[in-house]
Amino acid sequence: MGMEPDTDEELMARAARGDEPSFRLLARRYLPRGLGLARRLIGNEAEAEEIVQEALLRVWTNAPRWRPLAPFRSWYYRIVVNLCLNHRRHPPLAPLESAGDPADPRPDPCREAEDRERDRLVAAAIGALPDRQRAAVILVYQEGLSNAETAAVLATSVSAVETLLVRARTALRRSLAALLEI
Amino acid sequence: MTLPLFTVLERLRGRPMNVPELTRLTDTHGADMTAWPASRRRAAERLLATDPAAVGAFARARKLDTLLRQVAEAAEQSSFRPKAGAFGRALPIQKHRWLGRWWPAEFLDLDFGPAWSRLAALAAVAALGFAVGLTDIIPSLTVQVTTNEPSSNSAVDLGAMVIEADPLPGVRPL
Repeated sequence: MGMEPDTDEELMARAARGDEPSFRLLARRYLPRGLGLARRLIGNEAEAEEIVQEALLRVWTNAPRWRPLAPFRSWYYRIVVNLCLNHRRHPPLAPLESAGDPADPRPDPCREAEDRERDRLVAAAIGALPDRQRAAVILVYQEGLSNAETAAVLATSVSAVETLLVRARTALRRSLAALLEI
Repeated sequence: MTLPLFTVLERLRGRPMNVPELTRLTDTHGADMTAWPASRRRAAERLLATDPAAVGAFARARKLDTLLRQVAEAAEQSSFRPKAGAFGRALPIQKHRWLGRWWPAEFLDLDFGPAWSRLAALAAVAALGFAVGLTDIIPSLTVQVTTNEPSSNSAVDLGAMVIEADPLPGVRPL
């Protein structure tokens, strides 16, 4: 008989009472998401992992004091984003960077190279944005959060998030003008 | 006074949109019109049906949305994987509420950033105030009492001065 998986809030409620297995289940669920977010924000994979570890430790440590005023995901993302914004920035990652990848078996390597170059330019343009604009773009377009959820993560108002997005997209339109030609 | 028919129709259909407003809406909400305010969605559709410049701006906005989402998918394909058992270590002691049940959750994750520079500034100001108070760095802060004595420029212990009351007239001392 299948059982519904526990919700994040149910797991947090048990973690607040010191239930380590519930917390580790929650950590397994959210570690990849936090890792992806941190990696995009700070551009260094090893340091992103350290940040996510620290964020999860803070979740555990403060679990007894947390109350579900907002979804757990918003709180967790807020911790990760704050740690990343305080972290020293590194140059943005080039997408698909990997040493020693196996040979690409697909039939159109030229197209793949163009796609990689396009993604590299876009990642560089995002990386060149000011920290909070970059965080807003990553949360909305890459993590799929709404403007309201992004405002909760960044601990600001929805109108402030909208202003960040307007400024970010204006800058991205300028830096990526060649890619946006129709 | 009757309004011209086209004014009535405009009011019923909502304020017309222009290209700058279309650009602002795509910047704020993305090119997915389902996320836009409903009244402005209809105005945008009318603008896109008639204005080629608006069509071009909207197409560029959609392309930018696609680029931003594609680079996220590409980053997910990175070969990096977290170390096995990366979160297997022992967990620290949890912090419990000490202000009763009412402790705003928003306070739990405030991160004020590195505080060393601010602590150092506070300590420096405190040390400066302590030094000014103990020493004679600022002469105007020291009370100078002058008397008719030859050495009249030195500070005098005011507590040593005795003020004699005027003797009461007609009363013999005991």
